[in-house]
Amino acid sequence: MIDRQDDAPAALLVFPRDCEETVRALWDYLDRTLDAPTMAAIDSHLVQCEYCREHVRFERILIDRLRSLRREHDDAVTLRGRVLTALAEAGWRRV
Amino acid sequence: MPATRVSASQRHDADDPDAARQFEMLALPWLAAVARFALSLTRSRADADDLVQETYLGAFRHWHTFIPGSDPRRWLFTICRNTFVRSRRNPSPIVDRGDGDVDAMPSVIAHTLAHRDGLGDLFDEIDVRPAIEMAVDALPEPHRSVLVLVDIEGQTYEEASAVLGVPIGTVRSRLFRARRAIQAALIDHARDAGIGAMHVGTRRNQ
Repeated sequence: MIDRQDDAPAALLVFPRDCEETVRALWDYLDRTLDAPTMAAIDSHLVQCEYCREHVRFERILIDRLRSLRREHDDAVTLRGRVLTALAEAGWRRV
Repeated sequence: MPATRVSASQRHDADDPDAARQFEMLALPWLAAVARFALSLTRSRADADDLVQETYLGAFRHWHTFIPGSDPRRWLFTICRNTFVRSRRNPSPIVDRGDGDVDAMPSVIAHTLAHRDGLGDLFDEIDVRPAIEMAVDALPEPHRSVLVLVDIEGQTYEEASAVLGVPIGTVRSRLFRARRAIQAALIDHARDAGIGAMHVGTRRNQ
């Protein structure tokens, strides 16, 4: 578990080996692209390390907020009509 | 999913009398998905409508290049994304800083420093949606398209790789760089909103 060095400049931040391996793989972990043993090893580390858990929480919220930007078109029927009209003008004939 | 498929050995031809039918059966069912993708790319309903129309006109004009048996949704997404990149009024420069391996360490360090400044809980303290939308809009290509495909549209690395025509490793490295840029923009936004200063002040008063 990391002992946070509150006054260290960025260049001097040193992570314990377990923490470093975890945080380097953090996005791969969140995207679930790691193999099962690696996922399990990170899960085990997170149980013990509050510091890495906080990083995972932060990055997970970031990705969740990005996902929340997704929205359906609110008038797909009108859009479909517009597209069909444009296609007809371009020579497409509905069968 | 479209109900019919044509033989893999048969290519569409612009003068094929069946082309109109095949286009209707294979391409048009994906209009809602293309519209959502266009909205994610443009963040504007009017621009998205224009982009969808241009995507389908392009798809119709180039229908003879669609390979029967391949995924029409990916093909349409590729046209949509390429049309979007070409049509941006003030396009960000295409950034190619190399697609070498990248990991989450720089973001973790940024988060560590932000946390030290009292910004670790910024998601809980301010409405970050407008800042996220601005940060996505500001992302240069090709990072923006990757982020939209994977993080907003929820596509897999493999699907994004097929749409963009780049290796999966490139999708991964571009995605991570995009996330890092978004995170940096959010931390700056929180600092501008005085979140860190508020915490520092609180600590000083304790």
